[in-house]
Amino acid sequence: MSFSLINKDNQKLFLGSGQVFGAQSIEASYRVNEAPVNFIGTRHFIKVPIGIQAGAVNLRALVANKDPFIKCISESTFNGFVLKDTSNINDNYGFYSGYLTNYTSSCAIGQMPEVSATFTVLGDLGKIPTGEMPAGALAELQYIQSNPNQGSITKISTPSNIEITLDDAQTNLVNSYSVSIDVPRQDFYIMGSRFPHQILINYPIVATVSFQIIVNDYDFSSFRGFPCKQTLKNFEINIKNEADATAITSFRFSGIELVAESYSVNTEDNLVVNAEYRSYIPILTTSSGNINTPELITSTS
Amino acid sequence: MIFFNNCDVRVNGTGLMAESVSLSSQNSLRPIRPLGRKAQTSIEPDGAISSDLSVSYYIEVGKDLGHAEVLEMKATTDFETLTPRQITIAGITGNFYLQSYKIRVSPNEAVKADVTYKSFEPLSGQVAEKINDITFPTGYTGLAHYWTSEIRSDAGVVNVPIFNFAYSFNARTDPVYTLGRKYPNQVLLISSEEEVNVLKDQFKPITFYGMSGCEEFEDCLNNPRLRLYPLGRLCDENINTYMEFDMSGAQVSASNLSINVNDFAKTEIIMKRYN
Repeated sequence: MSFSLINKDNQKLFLGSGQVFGAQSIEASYRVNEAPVNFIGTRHFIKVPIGIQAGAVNLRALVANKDPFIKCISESTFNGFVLKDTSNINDNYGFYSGYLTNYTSSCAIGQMPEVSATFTVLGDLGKIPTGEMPAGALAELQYIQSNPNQGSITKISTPSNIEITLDDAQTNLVNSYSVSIDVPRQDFYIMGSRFPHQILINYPIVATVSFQIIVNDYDFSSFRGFPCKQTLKNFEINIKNEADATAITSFRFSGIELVAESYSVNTEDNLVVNAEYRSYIPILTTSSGNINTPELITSTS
Repeated sequence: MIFFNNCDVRVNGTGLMAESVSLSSQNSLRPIRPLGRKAQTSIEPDGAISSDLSVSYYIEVGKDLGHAEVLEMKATTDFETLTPRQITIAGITGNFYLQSYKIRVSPNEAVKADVTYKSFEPLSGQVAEKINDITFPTGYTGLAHYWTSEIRSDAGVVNVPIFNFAYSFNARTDPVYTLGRKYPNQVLLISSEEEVNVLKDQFKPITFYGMSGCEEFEDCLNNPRLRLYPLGRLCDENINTYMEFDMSGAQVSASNLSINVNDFAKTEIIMKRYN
């Protein structure tokens, strides 16, 4: 007897009510927060709930049509659903009240441009009965049910469609880039509730950009230059559509500081430098789902 | 050597879900130093012997011995003859008088009580294994927990965000000694005081000496109080056992606003009531 196994065909990913095109992986997990408590005078123990109830979700997708995760770099919570059949929203695996804690966009030679998002879930995670969902999450599921056909992949980017506007990139060879944005959060609880009373962004938001560069005439810095002399740069990363070279997503960094450099050469390879830049974003302002701050401006189609 | 799970902690024969216990006995001594001699000649008593006991335990709603004793002490009219509790710790037994009782309702944790007792008579026994098993609960259903705690008034649940809550009761007891006896003839309950400590995100300046604590819960007309339900109520709303900590008559003694990085502006309000 063979079983009807669940594979990628019937795992449609939705973030809010919108489908995530080009989804590559979904990793969701939780662990109940119990701990055994021993008492004096007995070998028996009691399992006691200790700490917050939280789950973790990591989503990874190709850059297709638009960046599905940038909008989640926000104060707001997001809900996500994996559906086998959009007409049956009761058979769901999902989460509600998820807060993005990390966003990453990366590409390297031989690897398609990818984005990933990590959420901490403080609502619920798993197969959630629709009757137990908050009104917002249920409304999103009902929207999906009534609008099952949300299109298909019309734009996609490849490594050859990445444009990096950085002075070092003009005369050196950039092998890979990675943009990582950490959004630290802090949750506060009040008596009588398992759910957080409030969740705040614990500023600053930290944006880290790494490049791997094959050296031609790269101008190295040294660490004794800090703190008197800082290497600040402005650069732009554009992820473009393969078909017509229109931008799908772009990141524009201003005054970002070089914080780490590595020098690496061996008998098999050319001289490679890994350069890491970091920017601290003290206040998050967004516009139409994009970051719009003096340090970083993003745009996605 | 006796491992912790073979030691008893019993109050009047009933077990406590104790996590830690400490017992210390003191003997008050002073040296006699006469003039003309370099060394002391003897050591004399400088007061009575006493023993201090502190226990930290998990609260099972409706079965908390410490809370029951607090209610008893608050209600008693027999101040002259306080009744001790016979407490046994790993085979050591003594008659102890409650000195303090404190609970803390902290975020996402089961509620624990810290109690201290004092004895004015010698203890008896030796460190020994428990005689028989105490029946402990087998699950967390009955435990008091942050998730099932609330401020409640006669009008229902009070919706004022409280981040932390602590309650403490302190008794002042006085042993009365008579000539010709080593140990007290009786122990008096002189007075007691209660302190409530709440953590909020709003600051209300103290405006006059008689500012009532109930104002912090914005429901003075309906007698706000802390109610602890068992954790099992999360899964079964028909569980209606509870413990209450009445705060009526408490007055605000301090209101402390503090702000730290990576934290919210928090106000610790201390209310007191004297009995």
